[in-house]
Amino acid sequence: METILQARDLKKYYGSGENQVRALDGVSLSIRRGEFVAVVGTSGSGKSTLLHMLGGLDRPTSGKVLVDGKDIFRLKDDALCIFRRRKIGFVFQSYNLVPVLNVEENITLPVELDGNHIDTMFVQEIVQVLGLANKLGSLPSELSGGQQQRVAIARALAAKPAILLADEPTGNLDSVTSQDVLSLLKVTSEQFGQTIVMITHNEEIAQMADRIIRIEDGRIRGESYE
Amino acid sequence: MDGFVRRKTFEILNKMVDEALAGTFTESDYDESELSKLESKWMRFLSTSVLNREAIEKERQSIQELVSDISHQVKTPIANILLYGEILEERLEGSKEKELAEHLLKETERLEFLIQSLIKMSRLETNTIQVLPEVQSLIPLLEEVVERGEKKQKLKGIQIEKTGWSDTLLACFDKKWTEEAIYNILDNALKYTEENSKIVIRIVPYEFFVRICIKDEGPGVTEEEAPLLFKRFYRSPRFSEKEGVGLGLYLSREILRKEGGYIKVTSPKEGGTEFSVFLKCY
Repeated sequence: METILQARDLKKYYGSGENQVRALDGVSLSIRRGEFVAVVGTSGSGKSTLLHMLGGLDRPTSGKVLVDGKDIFRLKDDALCIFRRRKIGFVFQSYNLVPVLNVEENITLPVELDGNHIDTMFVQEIVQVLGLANKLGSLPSELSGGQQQRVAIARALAAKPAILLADEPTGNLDSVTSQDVLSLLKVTSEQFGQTIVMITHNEEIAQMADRIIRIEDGRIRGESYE
Repeated sequence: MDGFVRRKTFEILNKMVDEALAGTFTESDYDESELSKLESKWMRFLSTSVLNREAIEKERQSIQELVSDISHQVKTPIANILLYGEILEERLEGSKEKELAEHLLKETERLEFLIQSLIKMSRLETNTIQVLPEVQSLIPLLEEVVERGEKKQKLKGIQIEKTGWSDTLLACFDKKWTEEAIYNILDNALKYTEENSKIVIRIVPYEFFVRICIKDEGPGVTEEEAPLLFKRFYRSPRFSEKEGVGLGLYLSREILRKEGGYIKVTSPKEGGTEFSVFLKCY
């Protein structure tokens, strides 16, 4: 299958001299379209830094990230911002929903921000798969944590991103709800062919993925290949 | 071109692409303008790419139909070989000859199994058989799966432990195909686990999914091997002496995917292999 995301010798150093912290120290990886990949590491291993680089949220000290063959760090900040909005879907530990908008408005907001028409059929399908059909009129404050995270996933998918990046998506959820949210991510990747990169410190959660990349002290330590 | 006209042009271009994506593009007026020329070319481009896609799709279908036809046509000859082989085995005198006939029968059975799996696979892939999931009780399905494996289970003296089997559990699945999918997993467990060991079938309900875990005391799988198990014709090099063609788990995965569920495999710390089937329950 074709490669959709590639990192080449990514380095991110903070500070200098003796205080220098090497958050990422030469990471190379490649992810194919439709893959569900988990990046596992303890806190401080550099996994979140890696995700920020892959999503173009932060620039590396050196190295490249290619999305659909394009070197994203050659883009200027404004262009990088638009690139993110169009190509990358983010799901974080915190749900970041807009409290005054209802579920449906939250889901369609990013697409509308980009000045595009909503693909109503597709949104309906996502809402159906994520079990949100009867919650569209609700406000975020009326939803449980698991439901809010499902809205965040729906929002990330609505723009049909090339890649969905999830940073500890179940970090704030109990284990039963976590399993449901992960199952829905898995089904999403299978049914919509969505490429997903998920960061987690939890081995068991990582097992849901097709492939696990282990990161330690800013380097890749082990990888199970498909 | 002034700003207004330019904006208008881009709006039209954007609309053309949107319509093309939605498959609804048609040419508007025919005139001598550049835009009209572009529209005609755009239409031509779209129709050729549609034609290409259709040609590829057609080719794919005919290959699958061919597989299906071949599989179907060899069914009868294989059944006949089996029959004559059995007669031959009965009539042969010497033990050496009998042994050879047994080999013949065993290989024929293997061939028959392979062909049957191929038929199922091609039917699933060509959508000649549709998986039609509906919400229904889970326990009867699992009871039937266990019953199908009973012969093998008793032969190896394996004990089956059921935990969390509650009659009220509901899930959304196609009974016939899901039975096939889950039986393939149980059959694997029965095949690879030791004699006189235990297989645990545990049910865990969640809000959106219900999970059926089938855990054996067999040799387990490595993390590298786990995703390979679901590939078509994959056979673990560690167990090449075990019978099988490497289609069972592939079929299971395809069936479950078609009904909105999925399958995963892990090797727990205490050993063995654990397959988890997740069925949708909404």
